[in-house]
Amino acid sequence: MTLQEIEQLVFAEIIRVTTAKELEEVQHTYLGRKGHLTAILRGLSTLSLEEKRTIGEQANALRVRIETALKEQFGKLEGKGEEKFFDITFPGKKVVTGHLNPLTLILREIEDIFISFGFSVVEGPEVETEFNNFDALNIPANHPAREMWDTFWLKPENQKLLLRTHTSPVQIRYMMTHEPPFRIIVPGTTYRYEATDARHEMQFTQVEGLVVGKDVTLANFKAVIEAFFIRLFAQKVEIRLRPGYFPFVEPGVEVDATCPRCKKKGCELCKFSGWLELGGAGMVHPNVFDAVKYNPKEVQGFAFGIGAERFAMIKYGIPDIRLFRSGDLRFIRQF
Amino acid sequence: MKFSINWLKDYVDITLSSQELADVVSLHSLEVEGVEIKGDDTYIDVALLPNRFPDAANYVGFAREISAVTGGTFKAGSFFKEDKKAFAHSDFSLKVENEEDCARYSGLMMSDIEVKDSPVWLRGRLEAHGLRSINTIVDATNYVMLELGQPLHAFDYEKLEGGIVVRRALEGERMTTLDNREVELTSEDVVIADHKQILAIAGVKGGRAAEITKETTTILLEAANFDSDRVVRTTRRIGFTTDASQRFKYGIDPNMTEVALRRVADLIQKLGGGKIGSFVDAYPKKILPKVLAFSAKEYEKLVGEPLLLKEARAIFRRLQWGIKKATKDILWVEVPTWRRDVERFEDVVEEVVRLHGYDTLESKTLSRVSLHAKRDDHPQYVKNIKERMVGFGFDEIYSYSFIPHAWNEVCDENTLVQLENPVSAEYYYLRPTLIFPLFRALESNVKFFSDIKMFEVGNVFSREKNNEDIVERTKLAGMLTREKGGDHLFYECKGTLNELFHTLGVDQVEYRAHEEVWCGVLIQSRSADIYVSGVRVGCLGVVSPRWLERFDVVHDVVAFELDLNTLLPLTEAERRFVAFSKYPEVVRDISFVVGQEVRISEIEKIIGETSSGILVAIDLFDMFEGERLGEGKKSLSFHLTFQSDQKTLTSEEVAAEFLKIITALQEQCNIEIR
Ligand SMILES: [Zn+2]
Repeated sequence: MTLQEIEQLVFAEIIRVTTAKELEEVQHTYLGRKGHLTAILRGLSTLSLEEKRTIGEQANALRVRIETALKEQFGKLEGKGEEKFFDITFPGKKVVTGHLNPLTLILREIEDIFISFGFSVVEGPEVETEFNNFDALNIPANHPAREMWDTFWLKPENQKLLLRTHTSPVQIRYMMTHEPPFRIIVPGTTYRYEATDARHEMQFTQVEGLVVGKDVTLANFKAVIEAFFIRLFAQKVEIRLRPGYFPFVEPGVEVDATCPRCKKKGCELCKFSGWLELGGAGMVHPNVFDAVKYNPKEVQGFAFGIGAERFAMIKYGIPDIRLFRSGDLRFIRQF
Repeated sequence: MKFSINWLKDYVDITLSSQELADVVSLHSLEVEGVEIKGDDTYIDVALLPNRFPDAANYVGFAREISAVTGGTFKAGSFFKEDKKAFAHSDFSLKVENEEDCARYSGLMMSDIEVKDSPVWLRGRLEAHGLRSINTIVDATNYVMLELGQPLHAFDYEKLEGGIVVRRALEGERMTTLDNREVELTSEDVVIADHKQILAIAGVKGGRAAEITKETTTILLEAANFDSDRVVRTTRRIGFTTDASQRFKYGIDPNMTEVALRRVADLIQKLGGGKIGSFVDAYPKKILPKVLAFSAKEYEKLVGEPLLLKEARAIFRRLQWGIKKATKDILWVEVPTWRRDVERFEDVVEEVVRLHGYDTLESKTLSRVSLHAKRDDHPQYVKNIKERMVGFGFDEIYSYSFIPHAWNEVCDENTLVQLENPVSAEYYYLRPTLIFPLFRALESNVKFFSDIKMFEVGNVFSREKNNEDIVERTKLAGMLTREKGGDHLFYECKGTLNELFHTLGVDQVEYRAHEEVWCGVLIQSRSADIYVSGVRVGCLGVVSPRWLERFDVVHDVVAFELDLNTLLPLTEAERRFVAFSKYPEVVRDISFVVGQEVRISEIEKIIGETSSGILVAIDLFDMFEGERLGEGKKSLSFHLTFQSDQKTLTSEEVAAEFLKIITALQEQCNIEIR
């Protein structure tokens, strides 16, 4: 094939092709190892010096033009082509991962918020002594206040061991081994001897908080709990404190927050009151400080307790507290 | 307790609507559980906890509280005016044998009584509180109990033999209560008796012996203060409680007996006449009001907000507390004896702050302190493990800490922790392992899913043999099941654990033959104990089909459990970088047939011991068994990776090493190269 013949054909062929594969073939036909133009360039050595120069120049110029045309056409054909039909709306391949229980999810949220406030997360055992669970918390034996906690006792009776009814005994354990100032939260499993229904469980999760120092006040508590609710519900919530009774604090308060679902207008969740009861709190009772050998004249602080399941129910719209420990994967796999 | 608004209005002015009243009471005083309209009256339901039961679980007390929070005029003050002239003391024989059983016993005689049916208004009020109307005398005592919180009892004076004795019952002594219960008493129970027989169980219930009847003309009214513990223990022994015993349980101000007697006598006279006779009183240790110091400065230190002393003074006035003495900084307040819950400064602070209002308390951010806030190691470690398990495709379960009574047949009962008061046979012992509860979850889930991987992190409990102590440990357990899972499930679980160990910085992991038959749950020959740095940390294995039958599970199940308390100290928080070689690696494959009973670990051990330092990895990539290979044989294929960190290995060096390995395998476990 002469240079002229090549020139006549090659550009027409380049424009005609519709796929990158076809274009590659064209490229191969002319510029490949055994291509037409390559043959001419290789044949140069057999020609006279004069011919070598003119034909060589022409051939090289043509090669450059062909390459440019090819490049342009490749650009046009890119993405089109010989591939099969490709459906990007086809469902993605399922990656199998597990799911954390929503109870774990809410505990993490709670813990992370308090960690950012300078609290440490500490734990304690679920089997407790009567002393740590009651006596040291200013709930002496035979005090009618004991009846506020329906308790699972362990055999034998004379060992006076029980399943903790709150995580408050960890207050005692912590204070006996640490010196103030400190800020801690104590998440953990707790138990109540009671009949279960959609709102009550015999086994549930409490997060107890304790802040002790020289000058920790009730006004500080209000600020902490306010900031916590705002972070947790990711919206402006109002806090309301009411008188409450827990023997290990004085003064004691109940903590309400404006309903994050209806924003105080009233809904099913808040029983149309606009407020949700979210926990109990108060200033640590001096008798508790006495029990852990702190001097109540030198230290003061606040304690609070909130129920993790309750927050998860509010946040994730879970209607029945028993679902958390049902082990039902239809429930867990939603989270 | 449910309070009638109409009745409350007898003692305090109320101008607010019932709902407004409920709100203000909730915010400043006591928790209101509901407001309910019944007929032409409204009832407000108030939760009375042990601290406020003594003073506020009665109409006058609650009216006093309403007066304090709303400022409405308190109209029952006249009840508390002492009027010595009203009572003529007598020498009627009264003996309280034990002062600790009964802090005060007061009695009032009335003669010329006419016992009648009660008027409609009285019946209505009692019935609204679930009390049946009996006659004017009994009804008056019940009415005053609701009004003032002091239980009262009326005896027919003519039926008394000699005087009144407050004593312990004799062991086995019997009496019949007004509602015809036969009760047998012990020497731990306190009774009211005359010189012949028991008249009443102290603080609980009256008896038939001196019952008021239509014929009664002279009565002895009793108002006493019995010991709380003793009343509670008696009610437990005899198996019933009463309105009166509930009130004694929480405690009552001993100074109320006289107030209540004066009030009930007045009411009886209004209902049907009668003459007030002599008064007897055994009150050896009179309770006086406590005087406590209130300092505005200390108030501010605790609450975090300043307060003027005159604001505090106004609050004490609303509470009807007296001021004994006032200095520039301190008010010495006199706490009335009906407020048994107020014992110290902090209690006074609560009164002031709640009436001042929590709503006006301004939040104050905690000062910044240089604390290193973090999770303790244990919770942080558990958090990391959960993260990993979810990544491996496991769903997280929480189960109850209790297992059924029936499961004691598979455990050593001596090691189980038993509840004194289980809720039912289903929740009887504390779980000694997380595996049992996981089976329960498995049972309910196999109905919906065939492919299940789940785990739990939780505490387990056991009693060490010959040791009274309860051991509580944190475990991680998991379970896998799949249709046609086969042996592969075991290796999948093992692979998961290996990866978990790796991320925890644990390298020295060994799987040894399972020695402990773990309550017969696992098939021993298909289970392994897991050792880390030579310490047993748990086990994994295939669950026996016999055990699975209990839970209606038909597919293969593999389970594992690790003791996190043991594992934690063996982990490395951070991994250390190992430099990689600059020189290329050479991979040679080896495939051979060997006896089925030869363990992979043996082969790996031989290879490892034979090779010099240039063998850097052994990787089993294929294994099969089949007739073609002959009975009792299996085929194994390994990738062997050679590399030096000194130089590029020559093919001769690798070939020599490879040959050495083959020879060793042929000699030591009789392999046939394929
Ligand atoms: Zn709402």
